[in-house]
Amino acid sequence: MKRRQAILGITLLGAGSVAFSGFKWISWYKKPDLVYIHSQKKLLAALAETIIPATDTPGAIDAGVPNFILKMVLENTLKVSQNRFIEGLKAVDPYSISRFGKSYIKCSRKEQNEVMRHFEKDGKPFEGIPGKVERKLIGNSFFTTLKEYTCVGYYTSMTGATQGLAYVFTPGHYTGCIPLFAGQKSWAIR
Amino acid sequence: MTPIPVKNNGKELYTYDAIVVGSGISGGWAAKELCEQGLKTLVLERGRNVEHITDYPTSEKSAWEFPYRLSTVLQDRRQSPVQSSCPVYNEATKHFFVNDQEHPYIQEKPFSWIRGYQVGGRSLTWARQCYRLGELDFEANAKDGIAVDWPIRYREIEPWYDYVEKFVGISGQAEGIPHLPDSQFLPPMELNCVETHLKQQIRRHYKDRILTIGRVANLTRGWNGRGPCQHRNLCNRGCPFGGYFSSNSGTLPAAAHTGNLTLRPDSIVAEVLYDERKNRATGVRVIDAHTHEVTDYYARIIFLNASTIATASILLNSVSSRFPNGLGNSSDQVGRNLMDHFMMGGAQGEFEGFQDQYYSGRRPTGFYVPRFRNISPETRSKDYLRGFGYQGRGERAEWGELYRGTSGFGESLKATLATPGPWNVVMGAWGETLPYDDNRVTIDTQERDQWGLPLVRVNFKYRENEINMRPDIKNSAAEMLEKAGFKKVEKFYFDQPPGSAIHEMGTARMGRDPKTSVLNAFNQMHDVKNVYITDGSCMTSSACQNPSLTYMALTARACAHAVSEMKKLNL
Repeated sequence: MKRRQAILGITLLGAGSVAFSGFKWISWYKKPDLVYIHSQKKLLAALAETIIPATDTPGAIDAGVPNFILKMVLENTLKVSQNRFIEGLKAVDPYSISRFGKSYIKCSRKEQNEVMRHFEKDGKPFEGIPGKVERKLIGNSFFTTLKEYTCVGYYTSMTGATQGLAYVFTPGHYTGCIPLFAGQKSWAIR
Repeated sequence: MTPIPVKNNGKELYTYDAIVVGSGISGGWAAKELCEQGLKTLVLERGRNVEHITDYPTSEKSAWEFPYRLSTVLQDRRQSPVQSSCPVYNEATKHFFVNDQEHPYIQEKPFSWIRGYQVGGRSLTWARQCYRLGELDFEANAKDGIAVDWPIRYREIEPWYDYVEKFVGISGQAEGIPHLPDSQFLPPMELNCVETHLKQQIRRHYKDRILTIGRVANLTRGWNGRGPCQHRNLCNRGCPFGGYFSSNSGTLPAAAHTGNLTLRPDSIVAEVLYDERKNRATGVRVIDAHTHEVTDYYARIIFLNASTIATASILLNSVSSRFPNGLGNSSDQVGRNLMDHFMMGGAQGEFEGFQDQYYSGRRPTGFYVPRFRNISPETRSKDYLRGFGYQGRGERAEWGELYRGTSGFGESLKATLATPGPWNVVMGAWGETLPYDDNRVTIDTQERDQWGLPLVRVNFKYRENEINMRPDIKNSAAEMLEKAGFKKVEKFYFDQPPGSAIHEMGTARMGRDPKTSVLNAFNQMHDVKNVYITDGSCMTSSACQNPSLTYMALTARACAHAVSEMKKLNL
């Protein structure tokens, strides 16, 4: 009983401190505008590339991440997170235009990073249990979803796993302790 | 009940020396032992056939070959909420789990009944951890005055542990602990450096605790034509190298090799047929999973290995005027005393050292900290009986953990995710559950499944003794990590529904007295001598060790008994 009350308390606290209106909550539970996402493939690609850019190894676009994000958002995301994602996507260009006078894809990498920082700050979830309750009630923020799907999409792609990390499908052995050599990448799978 | 049209014209066509119901880890052993002893054996499996290697469709696939890259699939969570709660359920393994919609049961209180209806059953997806029970476990009920006494002691099962282990192939390290006897081991897998550090620190700080590498049915060298393990850690998809033990890779091929095996998939056993005049089971009634056609099969002996809850439900559904409450149920113990280990409590911590060390290959096991409570007068707990063992592993954080905890994006994020992160150890307990007669499986009087069989009802909850163990589970793990110099030590207890450990047992327990138990010391029904039950339902107490090894040993022992009784014409 005590535990349940405690959870309820946290739930109320969490909901209260998010301080969003009932209207917003309803808007996140409406039927998501999935058609809109299809029209934004270029923007999606640019956003994913900002999360994981091409460096000495390929980036998100090279690894086919935009299509993975699209598939996940369309088919494998809770409605409330879908709505928040679409809402976030719709807010990107207005923000980048207000800041830099041009759409996101026209921005320089530095400007894109500025825009992304804004959305990261905006979508920062609570830590610990309030964060879990928040996620349950209102799903993930636009930035959280974008970052998660970009990372998962990249590191589970052939390109990302084999070039961004160290990938051995059939090791044939296990050695418990080996010295790490300079520049050694993490294993892609456990 | 309306008469069912039964196809059994030409009875001899449907007659065998032995029938084994179920082809999972214990049914596979019954099949092998009975076939090798020369009995024409019919193995009935309710699910589809799964051939070793050819029916492991995902075993060679990389993450990018799965539509959702092995992440949680919402549709599965909705359609099969119970099965998909299993940590190894994913896009690569879900074909080895049932669909909750197709196989309903009634949870009077939350209880996760995780199932794999196919040839090989859950031996395809098991965690492969193999630990012997010790004398401490076999004596426990008698000493504590709990439930009934086990009718056997360690020395009686010991040669059968040896026997099955020599076939299965279990890698592990001999430690000479009386209450966790060593198996016949293949070479152990290695601990990594953080685990070795923890092992040394535990040895330094505690005189009655140790850490050892997991004892696991993965082959560290070629064994009986199987393996060795390739350290892919993709076991739950089925192993094309035969690197771990399953019915499909081990016992069923051995049974087939004798020429005595008839394996019949898609065969749902509705009940055991009973002849009151002879006081014998005569066979089983089978419903074809697809056509719903009903066929009776006959045999001199019957082994029930359908899994704990299913075996109880078959017995409860086998009614006659002699056994109105279910076959061999004069004790009223069938379906009672359901147990499962409780898990998901423990602690985790980070270790700051060994930054220049890593590991190579993927080890399909973690480490084990054997039970250290209530093993001697000095280790007695005032709060609870019995105890728990920890399973855990040490690893460096990799991208899957790091992306959540690392703020930012771009080049710096990418560099962080590509570099091995801090070492961490997670350890969680598997705790012993006591047998309670009202933790119980029954069959519903109204609701039926698509084959017309009554739905199973499960009524289970943890009691005081289990709940009292939780603080110690969390605190002891955290204390060991802290003493070993770990930082950011956090205790956890995820309150998963019972059943989640997938160690159901106890619903047809062994015992000395027919009035209070279902099976005798050889897993033979007290009431109906030609029926043997050697799956988890036979367990008189749960101990805290992963139980499959004990089911295998008891099965081989029961088969030897059955064959010897047949030769003496007692059966």
